[in-house]
Amino acid sequence: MEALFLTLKLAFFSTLILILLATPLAWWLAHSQFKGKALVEALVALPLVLPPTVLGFYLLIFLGPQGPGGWLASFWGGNTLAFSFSGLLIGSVIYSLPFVVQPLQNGFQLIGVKPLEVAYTLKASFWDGFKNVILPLAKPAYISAATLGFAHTLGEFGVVLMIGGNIPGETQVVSIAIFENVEAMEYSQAHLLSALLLIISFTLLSIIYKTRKQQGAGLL
Amino acid sequence: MKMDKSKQTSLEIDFSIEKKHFRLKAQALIKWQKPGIHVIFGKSGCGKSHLLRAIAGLEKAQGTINFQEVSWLNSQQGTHKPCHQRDVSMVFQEGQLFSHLNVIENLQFSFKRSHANQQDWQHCIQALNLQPLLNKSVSQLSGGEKQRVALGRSLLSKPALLLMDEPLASLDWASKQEIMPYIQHICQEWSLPILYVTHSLDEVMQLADNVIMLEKKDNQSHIEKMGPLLELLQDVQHGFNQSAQAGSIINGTLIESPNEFHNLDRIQLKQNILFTNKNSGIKKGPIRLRIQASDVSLCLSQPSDSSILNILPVSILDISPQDNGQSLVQLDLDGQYLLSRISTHSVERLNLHTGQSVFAQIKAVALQRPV
Repeated sequence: MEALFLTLKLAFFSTLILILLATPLAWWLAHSQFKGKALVEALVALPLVLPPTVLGFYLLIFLGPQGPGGWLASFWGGNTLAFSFSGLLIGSVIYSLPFVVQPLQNGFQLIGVKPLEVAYTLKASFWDGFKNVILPLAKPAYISAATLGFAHTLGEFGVVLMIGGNIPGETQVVSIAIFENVEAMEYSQAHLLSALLLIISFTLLSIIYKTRKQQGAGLL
Repeated sequence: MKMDKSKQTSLEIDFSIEKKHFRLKAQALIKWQKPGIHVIFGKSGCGKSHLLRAIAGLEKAQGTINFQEVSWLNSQQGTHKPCHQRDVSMVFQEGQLFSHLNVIENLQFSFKRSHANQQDWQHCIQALNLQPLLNKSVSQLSGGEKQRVALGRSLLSKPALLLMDEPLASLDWASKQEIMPYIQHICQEWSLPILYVTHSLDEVMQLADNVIMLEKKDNQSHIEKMGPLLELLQDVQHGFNQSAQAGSIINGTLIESPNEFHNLDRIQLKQNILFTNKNSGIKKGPIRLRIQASDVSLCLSQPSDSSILNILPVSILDISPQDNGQSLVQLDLDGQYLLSRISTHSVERLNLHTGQSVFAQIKAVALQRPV
């Protein structure tokens, strides 16, 4: 059960960071005329196609003693971010980035700039308009993005294995624990965890498809 | 509530907008001596909306904009007042109400951010007859109702200048007729200077006090002419001569109609009299009419067995063939300019020529508004 708690904690914080990070990025991608935009979009989408091992390998180098992650860790006396919860969090955020950015980007594109312009002409500043017009209109997109990001982090395996290893309470998430249980022939434990993950994922996806149907009432 | 009527509003613009396919140069001093509607018009694609958006601060422009001595834009000095700090409000096409808010919340969005008071709120609801709509959701409203709410929402932000960007373009004829009196009423009642963009001749005729004509040549647009509508009537009509809306404006006087005319109105021109269907709303007195070119046909002699009431003697001023097999014939009717669209084949068959006296049969006459 420690693994389950850790998994939920990881998914929760990843989603939180992702929403904060993806909001400006998705807004920019939705509205920028910048020529190099396609490159940025491709970069964001990379985790969709790369084998988790490739991503994990680069992250391992990046987070390790020789990379910026190790340098960062030296501030609190460590020498690496790999094999730690923080390292896992960074990995999750990158791994799930496209699953949060894309729904938000689509949502923002669907809304367009018109509602914001209308808000401007009614004496609302950018932040005022963004908070009181764009965010409420983008609510379905945010529900999709958050649920997808959360669910996808739950299912993470390869990246975690590469950069997190298998430390109970620190980096051993459910997917890894299942793998270990099976290896150790402890099928009953594997059954329990698998069923739990199945139910949680199914519930989350149901929420997404439910909100997608309501999204039609986005903008008039 | 009413502002000092003697107060003059002035908007000074001198800027250019660069777009991929065209360039707009706009230089003008737009003045409102009293509340009134200045209509910006020109063919579609000539940059009318860009002009309006630049004034609102929604579009990038190079140059200067001064409103009532306040600088909104001065690209040389690097000043660009953002839209929400300019004292304007804008009514967009299709209203653009916020769909996550209902009608009253849409109005409150603007009310909360302006210095309008409770009295303004009441006045606005009353003037636009919004009471029955307040608790409806935006999706329940008709096109005309949406535009009424949008107009109210803009009023409640108490702007010093109201911009309207083709507000009636997506409405059907009946809704347009329903909204236009509201716009005129609001303009007078709130002493509000309005800058109004349209490509519809009907709207120009019914709403404009002044017109600003945009002209596009070789991907360059500029302000061709501006002034009171009555002085520029000819030019305004010329702008539409090529389009399906081609027609003419006739000034006349609505006079008493004896009962024998069965609910027809009579309009006195210099010598002739025009008949129209009864218009209950308009009072006797000077009036402006609009006659579509396609509603006017010509005959060489006065037919006595026609059901058409309006058959008037005219003389031909000019005949210009168009590429679609039709010709526009300019006629002199009691010293006023009347336009007729007939087939080029008919022109040849009847051997029509400049200076000839003929008879014009007018199928329909639309009353526009009192002058």
